[in-house]
Amino acid sequence: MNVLVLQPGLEKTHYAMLVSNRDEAVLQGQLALAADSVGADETLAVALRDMREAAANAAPAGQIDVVAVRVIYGGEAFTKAVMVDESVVARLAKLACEAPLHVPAAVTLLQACASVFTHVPVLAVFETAFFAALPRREQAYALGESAGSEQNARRYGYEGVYHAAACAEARRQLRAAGKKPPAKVVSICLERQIEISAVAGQRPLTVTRGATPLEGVPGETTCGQIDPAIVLTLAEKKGWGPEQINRVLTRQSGILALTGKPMTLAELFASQGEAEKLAQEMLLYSLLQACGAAVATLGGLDALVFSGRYVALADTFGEALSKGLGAALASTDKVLCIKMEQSNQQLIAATAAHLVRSTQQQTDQQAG
Amino acid sequence: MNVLVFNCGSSSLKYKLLAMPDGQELAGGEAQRVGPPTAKPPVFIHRKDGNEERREVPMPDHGVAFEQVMTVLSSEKGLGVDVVGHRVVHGAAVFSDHAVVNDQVLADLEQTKALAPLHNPPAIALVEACRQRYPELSQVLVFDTGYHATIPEHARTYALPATLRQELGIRKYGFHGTSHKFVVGEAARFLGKPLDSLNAVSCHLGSGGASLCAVVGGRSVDNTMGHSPLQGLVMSTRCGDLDPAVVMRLLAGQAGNPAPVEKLLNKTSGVLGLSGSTADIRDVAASLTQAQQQPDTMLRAWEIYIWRVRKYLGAYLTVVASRAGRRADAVVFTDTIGETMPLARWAICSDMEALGLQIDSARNAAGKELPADVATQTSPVRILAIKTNEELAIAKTSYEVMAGKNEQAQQGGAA
Repeated sequence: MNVLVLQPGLEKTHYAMLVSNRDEAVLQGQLALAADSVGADETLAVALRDMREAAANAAPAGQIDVVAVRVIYGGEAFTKAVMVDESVVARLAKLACEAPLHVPAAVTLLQACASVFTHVPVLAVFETAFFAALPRREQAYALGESAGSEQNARRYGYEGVYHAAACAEARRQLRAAGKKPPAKVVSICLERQIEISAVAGQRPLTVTRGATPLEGVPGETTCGQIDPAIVLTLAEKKGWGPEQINRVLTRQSGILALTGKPMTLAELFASQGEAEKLAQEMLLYSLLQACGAAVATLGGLDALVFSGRYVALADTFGEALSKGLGAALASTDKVLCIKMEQSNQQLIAATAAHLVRSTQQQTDQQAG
Repeated sequence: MNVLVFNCGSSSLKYKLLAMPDGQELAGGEAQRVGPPTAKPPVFIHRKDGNEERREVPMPDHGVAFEQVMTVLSSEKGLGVDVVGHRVVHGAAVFSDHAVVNDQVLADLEQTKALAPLHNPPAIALVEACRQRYPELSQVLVFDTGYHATIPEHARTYALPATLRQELGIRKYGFHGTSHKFVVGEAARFLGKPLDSLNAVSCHLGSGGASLCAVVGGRSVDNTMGHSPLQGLVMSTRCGDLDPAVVMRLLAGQAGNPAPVEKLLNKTSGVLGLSGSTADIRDVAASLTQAQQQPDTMLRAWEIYIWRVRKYLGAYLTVVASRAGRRADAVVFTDTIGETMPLARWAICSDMEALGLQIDSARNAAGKELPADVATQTSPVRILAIKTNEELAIAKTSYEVMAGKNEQAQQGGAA
């Protein structure tokens, strides 16, 4: 099956053409469409048509079977991937105030896709879907009704596609090793901002990110968890408005702020300097705490599973974390470290192919 | 040596006179509604030998309240004051643990006002009033942040631009230090271990504020409170941890004005916000055990409160074991909730065998005589309930500082 995957990012939208039985994309590129800009529809349609031609040319048999769009936020309305139609777009559009950065851009992109790919199914794959079943005690912040409900302040994770696949891989390996279910897994997604989730069987119990992707472990340019009072201090002492504070916390903080230079997570852990060492220690410390909290909620630990674009760092992190956790755990069993090396792109393509196939089967059955 | 310990609130002044080094309480009391007139009159309470005396006295500022304390004490035999010890909430990056008041210290104290605008100014006014009226009386300041001066850089740094951190003094300070330090010392004594080899997680669960402290070798290595006392656990009216983006949304909803958001997060969130009716987790628990059906908000408030403590307990047990290279010796519960609410200790420690905690339900329920060990005999990590006593801790520090000073002076004199 030939799947065209679209992943809207903060500045550009990545696209890739993936075909059955090949790991590498047969074509990939970027569209100048930021996730937070509601671009001119016509420009977008033109760009999508050009991309459609190029993708179709690159695909075997010159055909695109399905278009799969990664959507960061689906709120409580979307608990799994769906075929996009008008009602889906309308339901998603209603969530704009819950995730103003991501939802309007996703709506625009999905609408444009529907108009350009008239004879090809378009799929929306939601990163928050995996976290729909997060227990309410983990979802909630300790705010009153007035503050909480208006802001829809509940916790989500934003790397659900990675976590779901990583935990499935962990369950497979644990089953093979003769471990009794449910598997107690801490899933560590090594993306630009690391996200950690405690997962019992298929159910997530904790996640480090929150009402937005900003909370949790510090990222490449994001601050992660801070004392909420610091935001108020910045408003009071610097006279900054929410937008300026947001810019500083999301674009000028994290590893960038600690080391003074822009660098990726992989570059940070290949560096030697003083400031870099502090940033490394801070991230490892933050991970260790998240793992400890995860173990407390799981009541044990069968495996750590790593995924994400920096999955190559799994050995570095795995060693440090198993040592720390090993000292704390009552059990003397070695902590199993597992890697799930597929990319987000590949996982979305697989999800889409699976969904299309099962829909076809259903249709065939009904016809038969 | 008699130490007069002051705990100064924004509109109150609590005091205790303790005979050191044995810690015997000679007298104590409280001035309520100090400051501008309120609907109810200001009251001065004095307690001695189990008797309580209440009087209505105008107390427009902490200086007058202080004068009241001194007048009452000097009118009775054996209540002379040798040293004054103050609880000061925020020591900023200037003070670690304690300081003896002099001109330099007073100047440095001014700098801490910006970081703790609610808590420090009344305490500083009290120190100044005391110095003005009794210049010969030594004053020792004990800071809530002091015990946390040993939190390592990677645990106290926020991933924010360096210029901002320096300009505004943004870092984790940690609070409740006097209480954590005291109960950790008591735990070492109870377990018969030298303090500098004790590894523990101290849980100060108060009826108002609450924080956990990770302790390695008797020293604080982390605290759930942060730059301010707002971060961390769910508290009576404080929200604790919150996505910074939610704060920005709330701020945007108030046209960028931080004051109402600060009030919301500090005064109407936490247990009060979740339950919608009470700020006291004991009321929440009591309502859950009542026969008639309770609103779901109560169960939810209880779940969230306990869940947050459990997560941090797991995190800190791991942090302590990782740093020490071996499992923690003990988890210590203290302050109102930690000391008097076996149900909370049970809910927090049960199903934590994976991290070495085995709570004994019978011992936990019976644990009213403190200190108590409420873990099973075979639990790898001890679970202790210990009564905190911040006044005694402040008196102890004040006594040790002054005794040390006198000794130095005598040696200096002899030389």
